[in-house]
Amino acid sequence: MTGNTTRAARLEAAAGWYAELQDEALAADVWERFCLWERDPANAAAFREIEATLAALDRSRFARPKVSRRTPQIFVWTGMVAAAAALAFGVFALTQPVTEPAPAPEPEPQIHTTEIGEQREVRLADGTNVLLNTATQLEVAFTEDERLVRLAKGQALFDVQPGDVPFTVEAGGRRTTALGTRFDVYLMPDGLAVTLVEGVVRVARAGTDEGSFLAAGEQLRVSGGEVRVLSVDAAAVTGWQAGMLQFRDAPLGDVIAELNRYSQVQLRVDDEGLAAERLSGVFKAGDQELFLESLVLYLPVEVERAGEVILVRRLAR
Amino acid sequence: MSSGVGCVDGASRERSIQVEATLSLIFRTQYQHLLRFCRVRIRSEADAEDIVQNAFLAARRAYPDKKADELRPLLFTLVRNMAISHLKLHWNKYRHGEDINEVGRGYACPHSPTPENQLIVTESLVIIEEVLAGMSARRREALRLHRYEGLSYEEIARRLSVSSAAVKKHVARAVAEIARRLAEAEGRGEDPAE
Repeated sequence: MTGNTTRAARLEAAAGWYAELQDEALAADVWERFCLWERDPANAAAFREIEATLAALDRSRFARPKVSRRTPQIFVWTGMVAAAAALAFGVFALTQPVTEPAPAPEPEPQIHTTEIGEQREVRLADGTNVLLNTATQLEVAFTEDERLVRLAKGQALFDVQPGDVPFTVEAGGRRTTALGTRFDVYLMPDGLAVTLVEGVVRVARAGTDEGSFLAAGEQLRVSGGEVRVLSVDAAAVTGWQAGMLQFRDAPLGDVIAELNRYSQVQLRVDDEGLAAERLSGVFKAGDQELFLESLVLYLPVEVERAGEVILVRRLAR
Repeated sequence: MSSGVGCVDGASRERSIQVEATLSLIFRTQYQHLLRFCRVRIRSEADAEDIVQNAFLAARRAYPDKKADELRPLLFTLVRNMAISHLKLHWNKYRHGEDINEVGRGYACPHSPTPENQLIVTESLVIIEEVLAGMSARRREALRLHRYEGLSYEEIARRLSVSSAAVKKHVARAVAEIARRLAEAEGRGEDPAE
């Protein structure tokens, strides 16, 4: 049995290395240590076995994305978080059910909010899933005739549960109405953007019937009274749900403004020429340091920290 | 979709012959090393090659006058960060309903088993399901969020209300457990190196 024990121990060490190497903040010297460890052929064989195991796992059902976002998964989920929290505090009230039934729709508007940098998934009483982006406030006011929600600020991605009663999002003086679909509403400081991911929605000025229908991949933008419908990459617009912000050939100033939505740490560029430098890329929301790490590798810039503000400026020659 | 993390357009930066020489020296000694690192993080060989090449180009552009040993840590950081972005994007596409076979195309082990190893594959899938079913819900969820939702340890930690060190440990233990059970089932009790 010693062979087995040794092998199990090696596999455990190899799995430990696998997990270590996936750390987002992996340091170069940890990688070097792994390389030394892997020089031993027995270790290298164990690591290959771990890789083969993962390849097999990738082919299993477990690897499939959850079939539908509309399954009651979210309840299980909240239950798990509650359980985890209870465990963390060392108390576990057995008498209290971990999964509670959905609360009945209430006449009082329910308010859901997120802090800067926070994202939260909320399941509404009708089964609709809403993913709130950073610094967002959403008010839910369902009635018998209408599933009405108001986006008071921020941005949210709606995955509407099909139903007989229309689902309406009110934001920036516009009403976006859907029956069962997936769309993103972003109330910007200077306007509104409604992006349709799938299905059909109608966007109308509040209080009127005239409006525009949007098709998947279309975005309606309202700014300064002007309304335009653009063709957009819906995956890029809703990329924030995976915590990633995508930019294509965008001015540095715009990129920074967008990144700043997700962090208490604010980036600033005072040099107009520098702010106009264009870049493309995918950056992690809320991780200003990671962005700066990449930025200094692409542009001749340096950063100056002053509390929660980081100034980006041209490298002094 | 491009896997590059940020290709700055615009003014091309000055280069010198010396820099080219420095980079080609690092290129020779570091390329395989960095590619190996990148492959451990992302599951597509071709994308890993793109990432490492883009990292070299970016380093050349941004630091025309750095020496070889100064560039080494920068290249490592670049490749690491590009791999993070690549994974995030990859899972984002995955979530938008991309064909699962398309996602799996670049995997180290191709999804085209021959008839005789088809059986072995099916068997191992059964074992995997068993091991997963016997795992604690939290460990299973940590593994799923890590491997199939592309979340970082920190993000998972926040969701599960545990420390990120605990998440890392859950992932390691989960993978080790599956590997051990697969090894036992294959009946190869002996150490592979002996």
